[in-house]
Amino acid sequence: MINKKICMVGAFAVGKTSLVKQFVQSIFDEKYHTTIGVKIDKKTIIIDDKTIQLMIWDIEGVDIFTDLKPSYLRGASGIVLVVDGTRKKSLDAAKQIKELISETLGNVPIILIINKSDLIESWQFTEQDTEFLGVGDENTFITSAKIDRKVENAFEKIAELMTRSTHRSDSKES
Amino acid sequence: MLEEQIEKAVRDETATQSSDYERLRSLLLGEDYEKIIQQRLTQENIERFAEVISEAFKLRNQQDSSLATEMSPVIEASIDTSIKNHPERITNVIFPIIGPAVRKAVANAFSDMMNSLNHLLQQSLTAPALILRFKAWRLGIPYAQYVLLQTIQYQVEQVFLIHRNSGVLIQSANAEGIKYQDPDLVSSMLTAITDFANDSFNQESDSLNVLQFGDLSLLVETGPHAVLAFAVRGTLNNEVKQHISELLERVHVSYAKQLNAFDGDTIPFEPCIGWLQKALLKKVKATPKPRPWLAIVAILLITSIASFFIYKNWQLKNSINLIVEQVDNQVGYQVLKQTYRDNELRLLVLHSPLAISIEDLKKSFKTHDFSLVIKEKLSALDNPELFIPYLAHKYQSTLSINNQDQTNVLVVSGTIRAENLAALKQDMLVKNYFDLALSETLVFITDLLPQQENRLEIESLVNKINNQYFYFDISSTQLLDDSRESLNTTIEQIKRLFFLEKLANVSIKQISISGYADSRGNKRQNQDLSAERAKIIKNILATNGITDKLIISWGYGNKDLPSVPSDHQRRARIEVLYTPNQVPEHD
Repeated sequence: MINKKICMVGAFAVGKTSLVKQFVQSIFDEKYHTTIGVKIDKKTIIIDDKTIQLMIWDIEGVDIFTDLKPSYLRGASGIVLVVDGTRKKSLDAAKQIKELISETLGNVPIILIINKSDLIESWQFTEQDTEFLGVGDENTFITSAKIDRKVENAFEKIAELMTRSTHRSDSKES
Repeated sequence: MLEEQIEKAVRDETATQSSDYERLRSLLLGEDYEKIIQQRLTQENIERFAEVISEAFKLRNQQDSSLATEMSPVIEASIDTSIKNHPERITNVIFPIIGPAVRKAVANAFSDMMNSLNHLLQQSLTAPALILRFKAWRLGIPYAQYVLLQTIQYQVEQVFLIHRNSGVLIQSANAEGIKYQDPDLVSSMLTAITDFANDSFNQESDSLNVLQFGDLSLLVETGPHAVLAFAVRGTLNNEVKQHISELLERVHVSYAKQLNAFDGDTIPFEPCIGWLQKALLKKVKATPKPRPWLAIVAILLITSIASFFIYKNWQLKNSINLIVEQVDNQVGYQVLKQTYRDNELRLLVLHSPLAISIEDLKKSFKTHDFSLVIKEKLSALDNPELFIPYLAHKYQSTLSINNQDQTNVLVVSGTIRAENLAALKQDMLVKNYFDLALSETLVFITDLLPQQENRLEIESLVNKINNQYFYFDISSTQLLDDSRESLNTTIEQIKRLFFLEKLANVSIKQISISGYADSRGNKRQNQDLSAERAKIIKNILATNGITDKLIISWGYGNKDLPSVPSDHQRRARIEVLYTPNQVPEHD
């Protein structure tokens, strides 16, 4: 079995914890609980006939009081960057985080999740506005943790990217 | 053939061409050309080698560890040279490492000491400590030893091997029968907590060593690539700490390559599960040998039941004996035989018709534990032999019957106590049915106070003698026949008195014989007759061997009132006077 660490990062209250809860337990809770420090869950999925156990580190949201602690990112094989479609400011936080990730982890697989698609009528930006983050359309997902839209697809994608990157590095080394 | 020829021609031509080139080159450039070529080639090789040297090292290092082996003498030599040439440089390099290392060692030792001190205080002053003291006292071992037994107890419940960077669990092992948390989550959370602590206190170089929740400790040892964590229940001790360090080193040595290239695949680490399982150390505290309470209770129970039955039996025997004794002592009753069977006491008795009835006697006894049956033995009174066992038992003597002229003579032989013989003589049965005779071989058993017994007998004999009267014919000194016989008995009694005199330590002072006459005749005649009668008795006594020194005889004439029958007035009487000696014999 292969164990992989992935980190959920993003501004506060974008829905990181809800996405993890929906993915791992298929539950959505209307109440908002802020994450302090980090919360860790695990889920096993199968990609290309390989069993992969995802250790999902749900890291506390970034705001003006809380910076992202780089040590939490150490050893991560993949990053899930989450923004909130209804808050444009979450994009600014995402940009900062993206830079920090590049500094600490280098070229690590990363996907972007624009969450809260159930509230799409009150969105303040579109998918095109996220291009500057440099994640790429194929790695960008519009999801809703509340109504379970595309959540699993997003996690499967990051798992896929991680296994492929392993293969690539393997082939490069040999 | 043609082809071969063409080929040869081409070869020759090429050879000719190359030799031509060489000739031209030497003509144009001379000897310097060769040197330049050589120089150029060497330079290129060095540059090319420099480009790939680090990759080559890396590649070789991944294949095996021979490079390190080969290089180590060179490195050691160069370090030696470097230290010799520039000692201050190595000091500068080591200084920042030595400082924290020493501080850490001192801090560890200090923390251990504080922990022990705290533990000791807790063990001395708290309620559990008092309980421990009590237990130690009960086990009979010193308190310190008992506390030591308590404190060295621990169990390693879970072992985690964690990838240091990612916090991903590589392998884990759990002790059997332990309820444990998901090791994947525990290892990730542990890494997160360590990261948090490091971030919060800016202790980049240090790592978390111990986490403690109640009596569960999480002992963490951090290596360059992996972290080992032991979940230990109980008190941490050096054995565990040493084991975790050694195990981590072993994992790093044996799995260096795999740890370095770890990408989340845990399969290459499966062989090390055995090591982790061996690390599930357990030290069980010495439990005191339990006392065999059950056996003790059983023995006590058996003993008390046995004692109860023994007591009951003793009580029963006692009450049976008491009843038998009471029946036997009852006037007119003699117990011949007693049997006890099936909670029934059967008594076979001889019962005098004049005595209290058997029914009334039974009513006077209250028996709860058994029923009482008293049965009368009906026997012909002309068969006095039946009484022999009873009498022999009662007076503790050997008795036999000697039939002579239709009278039953009861012969006492063997040994008998004097008081028993006296009582036997007084026994109504004996008086009614037997004449008593003493065997010549009869031996008296005397007590520590034989004098008293003998005195009692003397007293009894004197009473009998003094109360005996001897009657005479009218106007004669001739004794009546009955009185003649009585006098014989009295003579025997007086002889016995003299026999007992010394034994009883008494002195017989005088035997006084008084004679009387009836109212017939005149006073002088009566006076003479009465004196004659006394003298006759005196002569008979003297004739029978009783010394006459002590005997005096007097005639009183007629002294009685007319109402006394005249045949009773014609009489004589013997009185014995004796006194106990003043100085008692020493006994």
